[in-house]
Amino acid sequence: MINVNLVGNANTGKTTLFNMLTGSHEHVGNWHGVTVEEKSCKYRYKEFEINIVDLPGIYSLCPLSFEEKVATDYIFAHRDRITINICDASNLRRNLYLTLSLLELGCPVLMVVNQIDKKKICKIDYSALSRELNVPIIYINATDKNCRDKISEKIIELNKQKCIGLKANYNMPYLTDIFYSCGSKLKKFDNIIDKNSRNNDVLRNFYKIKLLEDDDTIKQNLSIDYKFEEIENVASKRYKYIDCIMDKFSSKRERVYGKSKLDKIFLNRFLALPIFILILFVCFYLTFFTIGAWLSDGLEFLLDKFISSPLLNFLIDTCGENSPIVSMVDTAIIGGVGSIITFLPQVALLFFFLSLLEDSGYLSRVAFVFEDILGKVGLSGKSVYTLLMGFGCSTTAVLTARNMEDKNSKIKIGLLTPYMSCSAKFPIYAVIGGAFFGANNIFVIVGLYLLGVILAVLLSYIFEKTILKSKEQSFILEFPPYRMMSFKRTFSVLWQNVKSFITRVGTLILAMNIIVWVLSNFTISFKFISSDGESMLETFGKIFAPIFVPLGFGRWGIVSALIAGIVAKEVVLSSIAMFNYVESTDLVQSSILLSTSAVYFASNSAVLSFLIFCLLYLPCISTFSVLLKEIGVKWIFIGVVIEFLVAYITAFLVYTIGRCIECFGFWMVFCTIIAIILVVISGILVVKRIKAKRTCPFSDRCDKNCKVK
Amino acid sequence: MISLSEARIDREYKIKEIKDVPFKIKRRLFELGMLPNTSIKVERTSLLRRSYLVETGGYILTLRKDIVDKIFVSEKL
Repeated sequence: MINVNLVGNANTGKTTLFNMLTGSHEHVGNWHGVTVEEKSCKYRYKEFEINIVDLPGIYSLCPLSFEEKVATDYIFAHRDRITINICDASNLRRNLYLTLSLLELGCPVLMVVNQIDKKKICKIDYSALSRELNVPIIYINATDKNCRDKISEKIIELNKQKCIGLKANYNMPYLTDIFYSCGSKLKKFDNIIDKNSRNNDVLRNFYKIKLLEDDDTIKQNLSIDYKFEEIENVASKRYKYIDCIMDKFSSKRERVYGKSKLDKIFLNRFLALPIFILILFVCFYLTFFTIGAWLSDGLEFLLDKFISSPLLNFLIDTCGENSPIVSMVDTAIIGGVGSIITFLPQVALLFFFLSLLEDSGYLSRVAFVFEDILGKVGLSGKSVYTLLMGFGCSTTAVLTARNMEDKNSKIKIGLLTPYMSCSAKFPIYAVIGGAFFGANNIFVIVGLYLLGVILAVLLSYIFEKTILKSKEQSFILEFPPYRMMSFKRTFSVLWQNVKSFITRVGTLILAMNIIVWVLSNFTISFKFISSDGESMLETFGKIFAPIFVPLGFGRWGIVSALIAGIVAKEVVLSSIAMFNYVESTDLVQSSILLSTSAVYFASNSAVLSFLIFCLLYLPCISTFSVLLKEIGVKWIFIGVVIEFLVAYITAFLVYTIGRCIECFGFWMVFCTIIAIILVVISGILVVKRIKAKRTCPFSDRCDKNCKVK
Repeated sequence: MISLSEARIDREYKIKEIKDVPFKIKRRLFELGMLPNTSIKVERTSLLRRSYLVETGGYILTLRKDIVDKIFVSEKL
């Protein structure tokens, strides 16, 4: 098997090339740092098996963020492997900096120049460049399938050279110059370098250059504690060489990478924020209330007409009406899974719009706009990407927290992402909210999404001031050019999301529904209950139910649904549907749910409190598993306690205020709340005034012995 | 010599010095080509001037104000 590392600057098309070569469907986007962990996949070419490892984007071999460290550690550990260095032709000068670093390391490099924006690039004499660097170069368009053969052939050729011991001989002319100018500093450590490089000249030079760059990993490995401070010298020599070869082999470039006239509108100081809110609103409106809702209705009709009703009739005819199998299919599969599957078009559309935003290059602009706000609450503008992805799926979004540069920021963003209402929670709002609020549910849903965002910002501020003070983030973010999503990519995104949703519903959610059905239809002594008797779930749910009485929904059914929902949020809805014995058709139409759910929810404030609790309480089990890897057990435990308390307190407040409004009327409650707020503000002002009186009014003029001061 | 944060928008300057920036960030700036005598231009700032959009080395980059404050430039002649 031939192992190949795929390395390059951020956003140069590594994952696009990876997908094209291996036929995979890994997540891609027009954003700095979409790939945050190494991913490998094998493919066959002729008689060879080639294993490609896609690595997160890097600018050099000195990492700044966590995901860059993943890539550099991997490259150091597998430096003998063939390395495909993918470069963006429209920004070749900067990309060549990494190429030189890889050549210094002695990797067998295959340089692949991606010409995705053909019109925007300068002319380059690739054969001359290849001779100069002593590296094979292929120029491609990463989306074009025809280049698969070209690259595979070159990989095989390089592997043959490697097998017969023909090592690439990279003679970087600027190295002598650097070592000459820094000779005195390096001389002290010659013995250590020689001992570790084991007579390998390439390795010796690599150690020297990494020491001059003050690379922590290499300094640690060689046990050297000395500040060389020669990075400026090293970087300027490398760039001098790059400029020299660029002058020789390429025409002068006029366009600036990432610069666009559209930025005059999208980054306008006063319009940028309203434009973003408008774009997000349009995406959500189209997904949940127009196109998505129409498609959902259509799917629901088709499912009922061609699958649910015929299947149920067939089972009743064959097994009899009171058979447990009929009950299971009716409640767990048709009622439970059916209630979720009808949301397929909406979920697929939401992910499609998120991909559209990601591919367009607009998200980097959003990060720039939000740096003002997020910087003030201890987050970086870069976290916009993670938070927005959280609207789709918290699990994948939490992984992107690796973009952060310090541990506290990573933990903070990991803990806050679940507050973004993920796509799995939408069916709960749509069905339960729709049943009780009718046409006004749109305001409830918008309110829930906003509540999640506001609480995340507020908590970030509290974390920043208390337990998770982050280091200043550099917010060095490159602007990608604007790009339109191709038809092929549109289709691929939609298909992938449909596929993953159906797989999730057909496996995890179906299994959970069957488990919940068994627990809610059998007693502890494992007897099937048809009308009377207490099910296992009821016995279990009744233990926890009293905790939720102050929130307005202290019933065993709801509590059991919430517990089951920790596995996957969709299960909250399907469990409630099962307990109510509601078929999917009725459920989405909401009329029957309204009458049967009255058992569970005594008032609209109880429903609102329940929806808020669903939004804020613990994340699902797959998010937990990612968080465990990313932030550790201690922070997960703290996060769980905080999330549960936040969910409980917010739901309690909403329920209490709602009940008061129902009893005393809106204006009475409104005036009371205003009065309480005024009393609190006055109290704070009085305390401040008393404190101010204790300080000397002439503190700026009086001497050090002033007692009042 | 002035700080880049005092530079005029859309006017080209030359980097003279990067002072008192944490080492890892300074190293990244150098790796990105922001070396002395390189041209640099402030494209725009955010609403509260917390972040800057700069053009250097043929591409666009965002930087936080506290870093921009410490990049010293002189007018390009």
